[in-house]
Amino acid sequence: MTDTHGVVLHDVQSGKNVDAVLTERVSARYVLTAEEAWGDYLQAAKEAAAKHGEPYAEPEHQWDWSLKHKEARGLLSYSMFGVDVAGEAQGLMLLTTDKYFARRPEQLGLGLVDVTFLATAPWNNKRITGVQRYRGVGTVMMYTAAKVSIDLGFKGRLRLHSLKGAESFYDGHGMHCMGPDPKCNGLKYYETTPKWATKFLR
Amino acid sequence: MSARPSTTSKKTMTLNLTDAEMAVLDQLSADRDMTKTAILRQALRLYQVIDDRLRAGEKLFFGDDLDKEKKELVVL
Repeated sequence: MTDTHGVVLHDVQSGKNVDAVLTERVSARYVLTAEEAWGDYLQAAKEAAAKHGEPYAEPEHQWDWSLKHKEARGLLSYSMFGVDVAGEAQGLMLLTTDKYFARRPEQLGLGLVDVTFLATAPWNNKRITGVQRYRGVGTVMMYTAAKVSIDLGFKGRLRLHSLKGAESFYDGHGMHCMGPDPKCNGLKYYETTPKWATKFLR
Repeated sequence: MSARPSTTSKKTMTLNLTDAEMAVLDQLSADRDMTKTAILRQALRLYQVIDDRLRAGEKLFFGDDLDKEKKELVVL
């Protein structure tokens, strides 16, 4: 069942906040539309860069969101969220809620929510565009993940493996980094506590 | 920020448990640092995953990292 909530993103060019919609349990059509728009944009950006002899930063990952949506197939243990402005997808996130356990000593073995995949639209990624269109997608998604963790009884505990380019974002939000995880391609492992969630959601 | 995902549209139900069942629920709640409601909601999510996989013709195994032994769990 799909559920929607009003959120706010920041329009970088106008300097104003804009209303956006956070959708819980997005439809396959929602995901496909996002992927098509993001793919078209990346292709155009690549061609424009080549034409002008400018450097072009490939995204670190181009995940197959439609496949992930299909694999989640309505199971409650997987939640896919999307945030959009006027119907245009600005970010997608997949949460896995019942598969992993905490590693930090003070909460070792307790359940938590895994932020399995989180991506912003390419036009919101500074490394690709130079200038973002909307800022705040990552924060909205992390806020959402923390709320889900609390709602499911995990008290705000989250975990994730960060792509290299996103580490400063998670560090900036005070998430605790436990170093590179050899079992996950050496990506840095982050984990939060109930205390972090209380502060973050305030 | 006004988003409140997963916290809306909840239904209430009354659950009758035996003493033994309640004792298990109490123990899980204490061990997992979760409320009894959260434990039962998680149990439902896990049951759904298992049911979905079994219906798709898959089998459920418990494995051991040390000796790599796998034991099939028969779900009735």
